[in-house]
Amino acid sequence: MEKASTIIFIVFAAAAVLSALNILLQRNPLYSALSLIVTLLSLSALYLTLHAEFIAVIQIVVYAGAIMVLFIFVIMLLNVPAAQPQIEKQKGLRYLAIPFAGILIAETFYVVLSIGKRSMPSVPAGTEAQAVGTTWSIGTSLFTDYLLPFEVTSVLILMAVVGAMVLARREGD
Amino acid sequence: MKHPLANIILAPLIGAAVLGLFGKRMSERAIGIIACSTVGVSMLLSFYVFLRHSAALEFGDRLEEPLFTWIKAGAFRADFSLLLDSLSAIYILFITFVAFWIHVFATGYMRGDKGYWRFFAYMNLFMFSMLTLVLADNFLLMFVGWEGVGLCSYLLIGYYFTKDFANDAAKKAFVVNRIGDFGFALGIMLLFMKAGTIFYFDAPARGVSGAFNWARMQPTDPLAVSAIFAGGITTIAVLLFVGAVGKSAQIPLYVWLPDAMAGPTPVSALIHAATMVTAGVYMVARASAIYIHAPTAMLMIAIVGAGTALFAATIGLAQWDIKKVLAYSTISQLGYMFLACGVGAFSAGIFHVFTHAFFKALLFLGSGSVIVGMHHEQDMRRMGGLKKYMPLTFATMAVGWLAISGVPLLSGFFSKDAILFRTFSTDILPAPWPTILWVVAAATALVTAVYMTRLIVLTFYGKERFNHHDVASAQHTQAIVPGHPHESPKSMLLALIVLAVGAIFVGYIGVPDALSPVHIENHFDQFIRPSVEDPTLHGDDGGDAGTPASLIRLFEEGPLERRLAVVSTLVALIGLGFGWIWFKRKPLWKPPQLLENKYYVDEAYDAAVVQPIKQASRGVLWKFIDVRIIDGAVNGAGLLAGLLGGAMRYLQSGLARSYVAVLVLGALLIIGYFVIK
Amino acid sequence: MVPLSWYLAVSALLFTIGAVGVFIKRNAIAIFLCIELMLNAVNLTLVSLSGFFGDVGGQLFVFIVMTVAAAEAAVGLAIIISIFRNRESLNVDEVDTLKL
Repeated sequence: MEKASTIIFIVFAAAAVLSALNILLQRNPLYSALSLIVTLLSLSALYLTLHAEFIAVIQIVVYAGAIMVLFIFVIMLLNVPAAQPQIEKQKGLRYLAIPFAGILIAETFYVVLSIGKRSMPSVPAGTEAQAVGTTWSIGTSLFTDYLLPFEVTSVLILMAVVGAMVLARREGD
Repeated sequence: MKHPLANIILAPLIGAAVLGLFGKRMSERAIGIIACSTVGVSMLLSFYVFLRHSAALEFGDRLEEPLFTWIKAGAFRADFSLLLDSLSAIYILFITFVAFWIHVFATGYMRGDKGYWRFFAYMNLFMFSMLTLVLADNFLLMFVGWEGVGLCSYLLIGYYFTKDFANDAAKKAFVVNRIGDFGFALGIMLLFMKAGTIFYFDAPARGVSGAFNWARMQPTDPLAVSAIFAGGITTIAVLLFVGAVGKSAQIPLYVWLPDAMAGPTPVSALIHAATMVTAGVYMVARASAIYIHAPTAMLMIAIVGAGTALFAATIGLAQWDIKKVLAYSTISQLGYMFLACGVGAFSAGIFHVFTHAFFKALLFLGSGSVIVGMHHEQDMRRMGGLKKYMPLTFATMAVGWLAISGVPLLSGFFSKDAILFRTFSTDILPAPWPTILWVVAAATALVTAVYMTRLIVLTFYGKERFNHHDVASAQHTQAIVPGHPHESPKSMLLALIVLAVGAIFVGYIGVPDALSPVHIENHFDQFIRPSVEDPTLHGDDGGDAGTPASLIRLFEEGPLERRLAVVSTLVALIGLGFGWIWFKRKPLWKPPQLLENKYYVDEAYDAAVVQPIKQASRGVLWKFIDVRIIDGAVNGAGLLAGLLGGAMRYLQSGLARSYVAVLVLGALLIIGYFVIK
Repeated sequence: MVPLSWYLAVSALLFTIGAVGVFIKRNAIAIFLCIELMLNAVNLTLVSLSGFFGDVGGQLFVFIVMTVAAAEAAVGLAIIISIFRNRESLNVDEVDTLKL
């Protein structure tokens, strides 16, 4: 059983990282978007291994299903031919990427490795229904302890809707 | 009256304020009335106070008028409080009296001048400062008056401000004075450090102790040059004397006084003859308690005084400008006063101040009358034979001439003789000095007689060396015979007469015992005695005339005094005679170049002090420090800002990507910081 | 079980890739995608830690983050559309007039 979960983890982790790399490597933004979808799905699988079922499902439904679709719509709408010679200013920035990446990786891995090999506990104590990660537990917390962020988030969404509508309409509409 | 002394000071201050603020719109008559009446009020109040308290003052009492506490900082205290003792009483008497008549004279002299109101405003301000100086009861208040008279001197010398030489003279006076004031201020500070107070006398009612009370209890310093720098009483005395040297025009700070003749003649009479220049003598006499304990300082004062007296007299012999002769004469007579103080005869020094005020003011005003009558001609080479045109001026000036020369029975004789006698017989200075000083003083008396005779002969006698047509009287509105020198208006003549009477009779209050066959008491000495520590005034209480001790003294010293009096009379008469004969014959005798050019002292100062300072200021301070260093720093800061801006400009490229790069870099640094921690 | 550090390592990798992408890419939409990638990496961290500590707050945070990401994506894309309408180009380097 141990081995199986490890294999699952490795497979989906690799999928996530490789598709993330692909985002960078593709010229056409459409292909990048599709790679991102693959990443999201892999991440969702990883969430499942963490027993975060609700989040995993939400990820697929909201993120991969709604946000990425929106992206694809916009990409299709702005039908930019990718073949144009791209103007690039400050070409030097390109070469900064690798050092930055290197440093960042080094720092984070340093931290991560110092955490050590502590294991994930298995399903935590308590009944299935009360386990962390279930819909039930998230729901109850959301509407009791974290009610204020919930309400504020709804206002935020309202702002976003209004803003998007105003920004995106044509003059004279 | 509750505060008589304060009113004495305030009257001229109010006059100055009124004239300063409203004078421009007033008529000359109104201005003159206001100016003279304020001084007149001071004069009458001074007489009133004197007469009321004279017995008490003679006894040694003092009239104190504390007005308000001015400064109180830690251990240091200075009050605005006034003091009347016999010394200041004498001073305010003659100051206000002479000043009043000079103001009257000036109403006539300055007639027609556009700045009439300004002149009298300054004159009144000067009176306020001078009276503050004299009536102060602590050194700091005296210093306020001291500076005030210096300021008014500057304002009045530079009264004709459109003339360059007047402005230069005013600046010179102020700057040279300042050098002396620096020493004075140091002296006051040192006195405070040593004595803990700058008040003169104890005033337990107010909680102040007196510096002189402290000084009286100090041991006497030794007579040695080292004492000057020892930081004790002698140093204080010498520093205070430096201030007196500046204010009272002694060597080496006398150079401003001859140039100060650029001011109007009443100014020369009041400030540079009768009052301001005697402030130095006042200060030394006032601080006699300090000086008595510093014999080195006394010797220094005596030498400087005697030397200045002879030095200035020789220069006066060679001047052609009538006012310059009188200026050097003033310097010379001031030397006499300091000589007296230096040998301990403070009383004689003050007596000479007193008589000198009268006859010197008289001489200056008389010369002013001559100048006006000659249409502002001041060079004696172009005068001569004025006796028949200005008889009254001549008569009064003759009185002054005889008085200053020391002719017996006039005031100058008594005071000068007192100085000479006490110089010769002083106990304070060691062996050869009294005799040397007496010889110098006697020689000065001779030269004085000679140059004054020269002045009178050149001006009033002999051939007329002027062109009548040059002496037009366009300015003066009196009905005068046009084209001739004329006598002055009545306001001016009245002052001359009053002062002449004073010059004759004022000396009689100070007749020394030995010379008074009918025992006229020496009122002056008796009166001054409680206020000055004068070892030449014998006896422990005032006025011991008639007691056995005084008779014995009279017997022992009397003959010496009489002999010396005879000598001084002879000296005066010889000088007069010599001058008369010589200058009657050769009025335009050319004096030696050295004397005529004032021993080239001004030129020496210019080369040694003024030019180096100018060169240093221009070459070093201006060109180097100011232009290169300071301007360079300021401009450099601007340049630096510009350069930095030019460099930083590239950060704002407008490109989102570079902004992100910087963001990421920052994030990396912060993360790195936490990682390393 | 997979140790916690592995999850965090994956998350770090994804984040790094996202960061690099943000300033390598010149296409505005691609940059946006990389930003979303970074957000997801953080989500992974949160969820893994939440599971490890048994605290539901982490997952709730992820919930909110997703909501905010959605809102932000909507508005951001609207802005990109406006810019595209003005300049006919999605190249970020061409939008640089706010400079000295």
